[in-house]
Amino acid sequence: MHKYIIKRILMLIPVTIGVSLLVFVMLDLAPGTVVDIIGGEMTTEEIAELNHELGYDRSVFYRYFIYMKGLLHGDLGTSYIYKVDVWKLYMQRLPATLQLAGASVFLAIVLSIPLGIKAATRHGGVTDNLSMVAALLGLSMPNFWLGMMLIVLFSNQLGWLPSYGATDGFKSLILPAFTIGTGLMATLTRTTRSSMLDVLRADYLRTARSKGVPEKKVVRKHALKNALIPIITIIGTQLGNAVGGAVVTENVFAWPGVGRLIIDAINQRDTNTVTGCIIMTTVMICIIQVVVDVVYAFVDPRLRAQYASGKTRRKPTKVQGGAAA
Amino acid sequence: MSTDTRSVSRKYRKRSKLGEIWHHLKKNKGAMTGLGILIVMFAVALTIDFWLDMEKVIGQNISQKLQAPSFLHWFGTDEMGRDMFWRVVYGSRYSLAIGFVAVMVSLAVGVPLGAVAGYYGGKIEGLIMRITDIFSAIPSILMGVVIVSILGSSTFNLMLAVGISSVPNFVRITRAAVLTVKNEEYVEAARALGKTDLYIIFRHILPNCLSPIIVQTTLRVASAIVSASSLSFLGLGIKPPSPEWGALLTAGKTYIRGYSYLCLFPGLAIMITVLAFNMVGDGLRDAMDPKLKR
Amino acid sequence: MKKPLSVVLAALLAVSLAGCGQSGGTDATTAAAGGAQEQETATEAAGGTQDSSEKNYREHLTIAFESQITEMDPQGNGNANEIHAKLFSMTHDTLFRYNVETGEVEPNLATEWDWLDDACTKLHVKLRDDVTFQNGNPLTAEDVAFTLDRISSDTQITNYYDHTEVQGDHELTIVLKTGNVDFVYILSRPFDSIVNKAAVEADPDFGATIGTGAWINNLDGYVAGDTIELVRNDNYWGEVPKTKSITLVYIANSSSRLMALESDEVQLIYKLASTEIDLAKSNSKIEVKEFPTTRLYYFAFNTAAGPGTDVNLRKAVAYAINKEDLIAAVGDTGAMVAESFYGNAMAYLTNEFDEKITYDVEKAREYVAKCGGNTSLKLMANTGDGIFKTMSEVLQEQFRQVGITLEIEEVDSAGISANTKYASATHESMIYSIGTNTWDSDMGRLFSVGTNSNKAIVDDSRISELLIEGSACVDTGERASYYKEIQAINNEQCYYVPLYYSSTTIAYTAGLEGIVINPTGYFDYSHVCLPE
Repeated sequence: MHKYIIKRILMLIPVTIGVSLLVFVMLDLAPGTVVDIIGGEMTTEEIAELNHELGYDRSVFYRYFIYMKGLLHGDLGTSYIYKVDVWKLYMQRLPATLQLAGASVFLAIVLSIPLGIKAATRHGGVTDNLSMVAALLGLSMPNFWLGMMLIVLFSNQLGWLPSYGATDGFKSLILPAFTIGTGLMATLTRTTRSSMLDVLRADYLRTARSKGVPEKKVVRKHALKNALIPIITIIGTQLGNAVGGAVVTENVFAWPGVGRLIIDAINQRDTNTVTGCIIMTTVMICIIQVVVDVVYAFVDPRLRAQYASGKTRRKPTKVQGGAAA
Repeated sequence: MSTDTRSVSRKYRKRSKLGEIWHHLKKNKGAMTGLGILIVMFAVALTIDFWLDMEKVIGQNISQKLQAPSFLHWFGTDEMGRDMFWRVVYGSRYSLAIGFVAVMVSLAVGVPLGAVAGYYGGKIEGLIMRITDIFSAIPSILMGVVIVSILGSSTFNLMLAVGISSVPNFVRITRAAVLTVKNEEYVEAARALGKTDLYIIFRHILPNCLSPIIVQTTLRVASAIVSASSLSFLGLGIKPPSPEWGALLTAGKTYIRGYSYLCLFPGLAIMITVLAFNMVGDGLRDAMDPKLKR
Repeated sequence: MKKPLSVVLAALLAVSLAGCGQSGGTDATTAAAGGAQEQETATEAAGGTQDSSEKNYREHLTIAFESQITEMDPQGNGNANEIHAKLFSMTHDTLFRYNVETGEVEPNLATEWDWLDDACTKLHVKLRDDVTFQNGNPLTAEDVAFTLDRISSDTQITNYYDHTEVQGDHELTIVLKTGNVDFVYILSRPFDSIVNKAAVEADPDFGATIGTGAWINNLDGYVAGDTIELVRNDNYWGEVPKTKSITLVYIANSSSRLMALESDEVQLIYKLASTEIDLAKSNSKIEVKEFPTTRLYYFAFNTAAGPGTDVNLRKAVAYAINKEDLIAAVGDTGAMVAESFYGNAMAYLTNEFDEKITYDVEKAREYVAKCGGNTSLKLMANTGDGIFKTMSEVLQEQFRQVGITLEIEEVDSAGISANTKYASATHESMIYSIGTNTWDSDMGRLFSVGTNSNKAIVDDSRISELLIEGSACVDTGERASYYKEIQAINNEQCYYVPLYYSSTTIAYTAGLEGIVINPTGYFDYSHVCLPE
């Protein structure tokens, strides 16, 4: 097992190098540098000096090399704009993003799994059809639009919930979590339903039923456990996406998370901040994947054996559903 | 001679498969509704230039600005007095085009890469998959900013930006599909006959991996439309005065208090289109995947 | 962060129960620097605190900003804008204070000053001797010299400032390399607030956040780019604020700002969208104040290269623009049409020109005919900003009416700065805005050769000459003639086409007091308080 974990972590190294290089080159290709942003009222000499100080008089690869040298020592660089350590900036924003990610995933698990199970057990019934229509609608709504409409309804017309920021604890979490959660809920309901359907038709359940095991127990004890793998996959992927910061939703709700930090930094061409945050996001996603794999191993002993033999991870089951992110 | 029979049998199988898919699809009410919506939208988008005066779409009339929906202006008017109904209708052109071209871009790049990765395995696979990982770690908005800024802001570049950011998806899907068929007997047979790898990939492997790719394509068209409107929403978009839906939403954002219809209708338009694609995509998957047959 | 909010909610409940939702005739805003300098000594300031015990004030307030505060150092890079000015006027103090009502500068940290020569190159200043920084160090002339020396990123200072001669603890002479009568005004900007030499030397990153102002930066509550926490400076040399703590938050979307105000999550916001003004006014718990600003929106050609070198095209454009329609489309109801490319709060603004340029389709077509067929133009605009997006579309349509094809190049704000630098400009034309100051020599920013804010890439030797003569001229009549000639030249050449001076709004919880409004955008929120 830990052989596998070490392998995953080692794989992070080339990805990190590649990602940071790509970010550097891309930001270099975009018009304007951070010096243009902060040097509005500077004299030409001042600008030249600042360019020199930040390495903008050299090639992008030189700046990349300097950055990577720092990264080797665990230094994510300093933000040109905020003059703060990128690590500190990231850690300031991470809690808000994690809260939002956690809340939306929690919301989805609590609502979608029971709904998906119900839809599967009453296949073709009213609940099934209704939940599938709802899920499709949920998948089809652009996030930011849903967010705006929710704000108009719940903050303005009804005045129940705050419209921005993370200042009001639980209450301010509801709308953004729901906004992000909608897509996830839709995907998760569909996945739960379809993998439950697969399992419910399986032979061993037919055997269990014929042995007189009550249907409720069949569903809970046997079917759900076997249907869990794709569900965990979906949750893991979505958690990974959410950890990178739900850029658009954070923008709509003025949520002080990582996604908004990255966007602001991109707009200000703050290369160090963008790179640092994206590297951290990559690391977080890797951690989540490892955790998800460990969870697989708990759920499915067959997979545990596979990890132990040191084989690379095999995607357990094809992921169902899920279009609009 | 043996080649002949094989090709004949494949042709036969193919036709019957298509027919079977259509047979299943026809029974799926959702998919047919979606298909109906899409056909109407395509008809409108393709012909609109012939029957709609552009003046109606871009002509400004400041004295008529910000009118609520009425009989005269079904969706109201925007801050420049332009009729929102015609702008939304005209916008279908852009959104559909963006969805399609973007997905074509990701198909053209993603499928061959995924196929090569799946077929060859080993170091090549490792390299391609790592590059895929790297690209999927880049936020699509950054991709958008960069592509639009290097190549200039135009409809095609927006498509390119959206397309490139969904390449990783197609690489992964194709690779996974190729893995399932690459050890089938007919592939072994082709190899034994000394066919080139390229021939095998394109003649034998890819045609047998089509169904996940087709399903993914329909679903991705939907998400490409949403992604493009998100990019527009964050301030990267199509040149004015083109009424792309995301751009309409962005413009309406300022007026959401008191003039929420400016956001409501473009948003609904996006939703309905995406919904239609999703319904068709779902229907196709059910029809193509025998496992899910009811 | 949760606790103050519950206090706020409880307070709101109390207010609404008492039935005093709207304050009577009291005007929450004072157009000039408030009572701060009337109370000369610290003991009187203590009296002010006593006063507050009679009347109850809400302890914590939140103010929403429309753009990010990225810098808490008054002399930091890239912060010379209205947003940062609002922070610095709370945490720091300047030598002089600009009085919006009289248009004069008044004493602040400086008690008196005078020019030692006619060419306006030597400014003698005496400082208050009772001021301490928030870290306990007393304010000395050394700190002033240190502050002025460290200003490096602001051409308005660096173009003139040479060095400072310190004469004792509270006396100094500022020496300029080029004379400028307006230098005292320039030093009244919040970006020239005085910082503590010892503090900056001890902590180069955050030492400069320590000022002499009424509010102390609480760095523990600082979330870069999002939240700034301020705590009252109980040892302030002037009137101590009545509010205990203030949070500044960044909410980019104007609708979100208004909604946050409506739900009392914030108590003061700046810049409502034009369509939201009536909505906000109809809410009895909110007061709205509209006022004109000195922000000038303009259309600039690249007069150094491309189609903008043709004066006929420039004139055609100037005649083709219907500024009233433009203002209506942008929805800025309080905006004023700009007839001359000049600051509206400056002394020598004029609209008496030989050829008066107004919206005239016929004339525009005449000039278009003289262009010899070259009538297409690219317009660079930051379309991420809704105003510029709307403007670019309206202009596109207006130009179409006279036969000029306008192609819009969309860029973001970094792209605009990068593409319109004086030495390497690639734009053909652009729309932009500038917050003009109240002193006339400020126009130098828009016409000086080599300056990046010279967006029309103007290189006019006569204007350059006039700028130098104007800034060092004491005689008002002579000065007026110089600056009026600059305006006349621009009117004739149409390097820049002035569009309009925008108006803006603030909205706040009814009853809020102590906002000092300044059309330049350099507000002072130091004494904002909400009686309960």
